[in-house]
Amino acid sequence: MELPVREARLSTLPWAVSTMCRNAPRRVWGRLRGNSAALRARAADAAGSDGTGIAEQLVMVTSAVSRQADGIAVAAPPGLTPARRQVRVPAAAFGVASVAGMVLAWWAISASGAVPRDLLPSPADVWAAGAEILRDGYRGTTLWGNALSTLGRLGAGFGLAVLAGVPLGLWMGVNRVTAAALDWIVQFMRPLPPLSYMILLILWLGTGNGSKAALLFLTAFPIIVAASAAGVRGVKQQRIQAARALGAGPAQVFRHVVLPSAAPMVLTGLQVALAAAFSTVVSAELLAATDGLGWMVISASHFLRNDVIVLCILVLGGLGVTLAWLMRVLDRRLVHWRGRD
Amino acid sequence: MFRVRLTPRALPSWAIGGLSAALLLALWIGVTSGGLVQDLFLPGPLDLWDGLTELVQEGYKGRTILEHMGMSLLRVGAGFLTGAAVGTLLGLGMGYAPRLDAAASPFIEFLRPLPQLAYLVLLIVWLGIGESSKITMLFLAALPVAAVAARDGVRNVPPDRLQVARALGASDWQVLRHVVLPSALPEVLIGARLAAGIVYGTLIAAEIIAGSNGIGWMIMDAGRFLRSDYVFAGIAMIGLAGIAIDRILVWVERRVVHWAGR
Amino acid sequence: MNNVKLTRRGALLGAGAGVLAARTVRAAAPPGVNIGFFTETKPTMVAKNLGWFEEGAGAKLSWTEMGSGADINTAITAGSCDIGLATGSVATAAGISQGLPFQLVGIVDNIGPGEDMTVRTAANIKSPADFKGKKVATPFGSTSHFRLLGFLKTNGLTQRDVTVLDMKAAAIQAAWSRGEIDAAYVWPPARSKIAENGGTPFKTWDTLEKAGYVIADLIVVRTAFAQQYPDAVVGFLKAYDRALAMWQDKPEEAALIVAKEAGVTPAVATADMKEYDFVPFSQQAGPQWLGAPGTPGKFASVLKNTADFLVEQRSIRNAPGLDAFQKAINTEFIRKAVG
Repeated sequence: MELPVREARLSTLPWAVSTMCRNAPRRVWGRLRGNSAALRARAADAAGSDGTGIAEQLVMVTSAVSRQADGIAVAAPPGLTPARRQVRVPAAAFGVASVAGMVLAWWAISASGAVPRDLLPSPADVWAAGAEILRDGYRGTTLWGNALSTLGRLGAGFGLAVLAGVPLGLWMGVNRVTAAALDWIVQFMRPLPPLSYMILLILWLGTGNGSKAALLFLTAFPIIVAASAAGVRGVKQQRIQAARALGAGPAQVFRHVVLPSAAPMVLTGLQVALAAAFSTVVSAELLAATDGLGWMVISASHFLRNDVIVLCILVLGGLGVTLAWLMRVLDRRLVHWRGRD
Repeated sequence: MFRVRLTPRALPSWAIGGLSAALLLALWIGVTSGGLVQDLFLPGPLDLWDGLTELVQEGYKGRTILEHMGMSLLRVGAGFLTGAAVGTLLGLGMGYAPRLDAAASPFIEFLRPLPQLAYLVLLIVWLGIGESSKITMLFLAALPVAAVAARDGVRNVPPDRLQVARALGASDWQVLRHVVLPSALPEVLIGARLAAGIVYGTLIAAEIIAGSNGIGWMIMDAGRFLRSDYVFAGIAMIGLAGIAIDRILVWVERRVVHWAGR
Repeated sequence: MNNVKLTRRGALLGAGAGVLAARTVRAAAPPGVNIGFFTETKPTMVAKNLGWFEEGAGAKLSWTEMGSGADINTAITAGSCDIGLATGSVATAAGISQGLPFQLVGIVDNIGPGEDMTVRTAANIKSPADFKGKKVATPFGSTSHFRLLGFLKTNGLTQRDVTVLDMKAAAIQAAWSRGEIDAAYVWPPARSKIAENGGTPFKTWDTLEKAGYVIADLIVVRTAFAQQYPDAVVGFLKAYDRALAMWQDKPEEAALIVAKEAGVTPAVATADMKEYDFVPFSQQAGPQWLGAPGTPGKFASVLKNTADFLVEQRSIRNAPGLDAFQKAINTEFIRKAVG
């Protein structure tokens, strides 16, 4: 081990790491842990005891490890203790268990009578409320009808925000003048609580679906624009230059370099925006609504119908989780190259 | 499209921004002063200025505007700091321990998109009308966002870094302290910024709970009587404060994670 | 939808009434009427439940439950609400002061003792001075809020002495059961519920009414709608008159229907309705109330006083003269409804 350590330092580091990864599969690393004291001693020895940096040590360790790993591939040398076998429990089981535990705890608390029922309805109360609403509806509306009208408003508001926000954001990303002209507006809109301009939207657009969809649009729009613009700005200049050097025109650069590189960021923006818009649906239906899940939960709040409130929370939460999951599926489909930059 | 960027236009960005602001202002004056729009729908810049100075000089319903703003910022600060702290710790744990992740994820995913107004009355019933219910609402808004960001931050730590550290004999704690935390920090801070935005956006919902103070309450109260000038003045203040908070967080981010992106 | 757009543009032009009146032809029946209302224990619910309003207006009604009178003002201004049923006099006074495009066409009730203070028995409040340092909740912008502020003012108390909290009726009930507020100024059914739950009535309404803090629930109609469909408005008012007659002739039967609509027991409905003074339309055209053309009634000055108080509270910017309030009251429809 007489490598010229200091010269090797920076130039060899990427090489060292890649060699290491290529040569040592994950399970081998686990096995090596037991032997690490010896490795460290070796590395320290090679690098000198005067406290030279981690880079030098890395190089040492890498070569040492590589050799050891090669050895293991043939036959595990003595002295390397195999990793302790663990009983594999699928992670999902923990999820199911924790949800079940929560429901059980909820049931136990309400059954024990420790918390009065008007503070916390029991699972049975919520179940009964759900059955009743599915059978008779809630104040002349059905649960499905309410869910559909809420989703319709969300779809309209969010859909328009995507249609308008993504192109605008991309444009702001490639065009400095557009960005400078519009960025301050987006920056100003982004932190505004949607409820602050709800009353204005009702004044301008009436109490119908228009003002409600507009509120959701305005919640999602600045997030989408900002993310799309940031996605374009984050594209590596070398790539653009390389494409141009290869003779690509502006349209080709945009289509084949900028768009694919910006897409992961845009999609992330869409996910954040959808979550933000979803969490605004109740605000949208706070004033002068006649249907929707938000209207339902607010109406139940007026009458302190805690069972209906909890039911609405469960439905809203379930819908939110489903929408977020759909967005993730879409994300994986559309930008399967995410993270492989 | 790229030509614009390659041959920088004569004007610097701030001038373009200023021009667009001036254009918007001119449009605003034109629309409002021409009598095209009633000031009920859209107050003119002068009305807005009058409303703003009135609010600054005389306050709103028994409190100065600074008191209202201060109350709101305190709530936002308390909700954000507690929510982001707990959320980040939980998220780091979730990223580090897949079982904790599996156990906590359903709740985090459930809570994240849940509209805060839906559980407003439950918060009142459980925690009352004081600050605790308002701060809890903001806390619940911040927590899942911070947790998810921290979890992803840990998950995205390059595995070779972990392996090298372990191979070097680092204990679990050392790996966490010297490898995981620094690698995850950029994402944790991005998450904190997102969480701050969400908390800020929830402010009005929290101030609906009860009371007669806070800038969010002021906007809602003024909206009741269609005092569009106060509503706009409130929006201007809340928007500017929001930008300021975001800038501060960006600054912190830059200071703390100067290695971000490397 | 087209209709809404057209009328909103009218409002935007700031001369909605004149322009539209000249342009639109009076029609007998509107295609649909948007009603803003509150679920409450009043004879209005009888006419709603039995479809009398629908019959009277001769059109399909779409009912939107509003959170407050202020919401009705906003919706009317936006053109999404044609008739505001039983909206509070405070919101109406504010709306007239701001020149919102609606007319006051009738009174549902003089609130009188219907809304009053309830104090927590344990808080030991016996006199107005005892309110010092206490927490009192009320929905801001409401008639109750107006009365509460009047109560504080007439007793020399300020909002520094008493903590006044802005809460919806449901939140008041929740906070009351947790013992967080010492008193509340609110309407039934929240008022009766907190009274049952360790509360004592604290009578303020009679002295306040004498001091000019009169509050009432009113029927307002969007000006353009009233001009276009006067018959529908008259029919709507007739339907309410019929319901009121039912409450006077067959109170049990009426209470049963009201209870069903409001989700309370018939006993509660009866008790609530007995608190209100439902003024018959036949009296409303007299000088005591809305008056008639040429002989304005007292109610215009009630609205004017309310508006002045709101200006003092800096809730609205300024209040016009008495004549603006007289002009906003249109008794043509109630006279036709009873005549």
